[in-house]
Amino acid sequence: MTSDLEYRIGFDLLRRGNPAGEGIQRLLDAFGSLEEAWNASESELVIAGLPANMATEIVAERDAVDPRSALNRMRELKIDAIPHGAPEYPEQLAALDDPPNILYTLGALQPEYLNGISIVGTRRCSPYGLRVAELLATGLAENGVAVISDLERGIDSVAARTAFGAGGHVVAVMAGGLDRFHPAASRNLARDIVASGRGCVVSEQPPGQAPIGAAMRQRNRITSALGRGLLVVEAPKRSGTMYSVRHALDRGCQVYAVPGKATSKQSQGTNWLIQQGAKPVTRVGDILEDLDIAWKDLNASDPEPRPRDADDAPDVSDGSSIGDFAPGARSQTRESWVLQATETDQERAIAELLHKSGEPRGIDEICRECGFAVDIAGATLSIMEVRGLVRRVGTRYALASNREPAIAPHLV
Amino acid sequence: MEEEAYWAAFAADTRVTLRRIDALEAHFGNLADAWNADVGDLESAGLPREVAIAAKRRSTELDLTEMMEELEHAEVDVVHARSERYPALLMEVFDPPPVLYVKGTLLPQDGEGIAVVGTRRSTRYGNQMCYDIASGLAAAGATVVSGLAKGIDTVAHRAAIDQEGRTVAILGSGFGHVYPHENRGLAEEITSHGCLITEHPLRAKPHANHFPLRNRVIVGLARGMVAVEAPKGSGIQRTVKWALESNREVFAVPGEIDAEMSQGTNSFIKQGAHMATCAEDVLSELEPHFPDALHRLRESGHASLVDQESGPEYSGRGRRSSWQLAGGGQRSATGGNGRRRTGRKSDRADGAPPRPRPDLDLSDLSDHETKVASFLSSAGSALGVDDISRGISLSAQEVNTALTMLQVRQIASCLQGATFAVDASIGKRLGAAA
Repeated sequence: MTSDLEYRIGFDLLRRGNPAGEGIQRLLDAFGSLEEAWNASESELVIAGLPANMATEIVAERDAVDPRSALNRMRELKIDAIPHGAPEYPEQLAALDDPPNILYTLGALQPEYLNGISIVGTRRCSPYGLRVAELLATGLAENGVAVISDLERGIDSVAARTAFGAGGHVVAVMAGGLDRFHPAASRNLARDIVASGRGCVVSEQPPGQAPIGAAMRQRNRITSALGRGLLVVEAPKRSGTMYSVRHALDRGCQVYAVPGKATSKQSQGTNWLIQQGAKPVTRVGDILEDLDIAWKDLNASDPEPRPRDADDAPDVSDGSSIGDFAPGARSQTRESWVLQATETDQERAIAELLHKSGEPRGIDEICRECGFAVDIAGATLSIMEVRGLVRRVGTRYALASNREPAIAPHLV
Repeated sequence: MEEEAYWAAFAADTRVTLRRIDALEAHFGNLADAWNADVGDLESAGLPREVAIAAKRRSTELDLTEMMEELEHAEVDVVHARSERYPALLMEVFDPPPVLYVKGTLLPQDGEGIAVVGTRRSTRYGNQMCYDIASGLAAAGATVVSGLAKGIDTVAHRAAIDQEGRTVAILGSGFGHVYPHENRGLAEEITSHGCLITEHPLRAKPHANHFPLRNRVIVGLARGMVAVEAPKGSGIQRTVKWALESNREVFAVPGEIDAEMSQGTNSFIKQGAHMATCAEDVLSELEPHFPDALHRLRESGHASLVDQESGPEYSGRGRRSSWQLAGGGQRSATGGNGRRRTGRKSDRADGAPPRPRPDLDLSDLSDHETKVASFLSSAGSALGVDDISRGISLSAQEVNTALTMLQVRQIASCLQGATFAVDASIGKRLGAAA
């Protein structure tokens, strides 16, 4: 098996003749072992089912490649290799059209990391994007959900750094070999992740491979595939981030996007994604609820909603409908006035119940005592509320007790 | 006596709903007989006792001829619910008003407009988006329906007027008490670009209860509704609910998730409202009702604030390939920083402009806004639109637009007699910046 891994790495090291995924499988089927395949002649490779030009490339390139020393170097650097087909190979990657031949890892890839969320976004992010990336990454970390990130400049690295700083698990996906972390600005973060044991760094490229452009785009599919969902924090309409989105959609993975100002270039892509059907996210709970993960908001900074209708009430209001509630203390005439103003049987039943009880009642009590379904009671109450017949006291309702008759003054 | 008079006389008591007027008509054959009936007869026609007593009292004290003359003198039309001019869509909301008082011209298309609503405490971003979307809708020929309130409503009406489009304002009071005070000038302009509508008699004062109810009329006159900015738990939330219950398409403008005034709108989007980033978004969704609108919008040359470049094109080999979004756009985004504000003082009648808050952001004023603000600031006294227009050689319309924006941002204030003032310190700061 070791030798098989050695030759698998050998094939991985080929730049042009790399028979990724399906090709390796054909070689295994034809030769039984990759060692035999590695030493096969060009015509044998073609007979095994490889395209002719690939067979030519393999034969031309393989003598310049030294899989053994690559394997030794990996051992030195403590880089592990998870070959396609191994039990610990992530299922999400196996399901790709072009799964990596080998997933190289530094630090253990724990199964629970694969329930994480991939966070992506533009490198040229706005202060808003940074703020949101920090907010959501912290929320995920605090709820024990791993963050999967490219560690690229901007949203990606901020999300990873924040999640890691908050004690969360981070999976960093590199575009090049794991002997050299890229980008340079995230090098220390990647090292810290590996050293802490709270995450790992992974790549599909063998050591020594540089993070060239094509590899970076290929890498996006790994980043998006490793997460249970893909969260786009900020992205213009045309940006590399959309590659990740495309990959996520291709494999039917949920895409989450954070709305932002329509006038901000960096939010136009995310807004557009929401218009196309991505799930809007305004708090970490939106993601976790969607994935059926129990969650808590440790910041709990969510302010109480402002009093209802602060927006509707005119400034010059004489306060006639906003008086204090005093249970049962109002005059009989006022309350019977409300009873008179009820229009339907439901309204009347609710008004009578509230009148009798003399104190606010919750909607569940109203349903029970009047025998209404919740939606009927809710609709009736909301109409009664705006007509000034009942008023809200916290989550409960009471009879409006001090409403002035809504008759035009000059007509009375 | 005309039929309208009896409708208006009965409906002056909001407890006499359309359903009850129908019952009266069915019982008495016509409203004139009902008007002269006894309390007992009114009760047997379905009015609760107190309502019947109040109606009887009105019928003895009120001179209908005088009432109708007064309405005519105020140039107010009365449109009752069984009249041909009553907008059919309005019947779809709960408790449709039995009577509409109308000032201006109510065309058939005004009863099938697009509502633009939002908080009175709008931010710079909200105002920008509101102006952009409402002016696009107006340019495309849709009537912009709103509530004449401060903030978003004001900007929506102003945008439609600037486009020479149509707009309808629904009031929460009688025409004798147009509220808010500083929008009286705007209300006057609206009558020549559409109409003002209220369900309240001439002298009804603005009342806290009227405003949420007014929103059902806004919904009633619109095929779709755009919520531009709304905080969490505002009255707009309920308006959205009514709109959905009345089968209206609901749109919301997205905003930053930590901006107070976008909490409501973002949550509408989460609950399934369409996201609106420009007028096109709204019109393409409402195309069945406004078949010609997108074409007219393009013809009008209206340029959206929001970048209309197309999204990523994906013809891909993947399982899904529904990724093209058409769009041929031109103007790039002009970022703005949405400054939040807390509350707004109502108009001052003492002749002094408001003292500007020290953190007032003047950096993103437009050229016209800067000109108007500097001019008013150095004028030393409040001036009318004509004087300003003459003083800095801008058209009255340009001055009006700039003034609306300056008022919304609390830089200028409207004083008595439709004059405007800006604090002297603003001019100094603008001068220093220039």
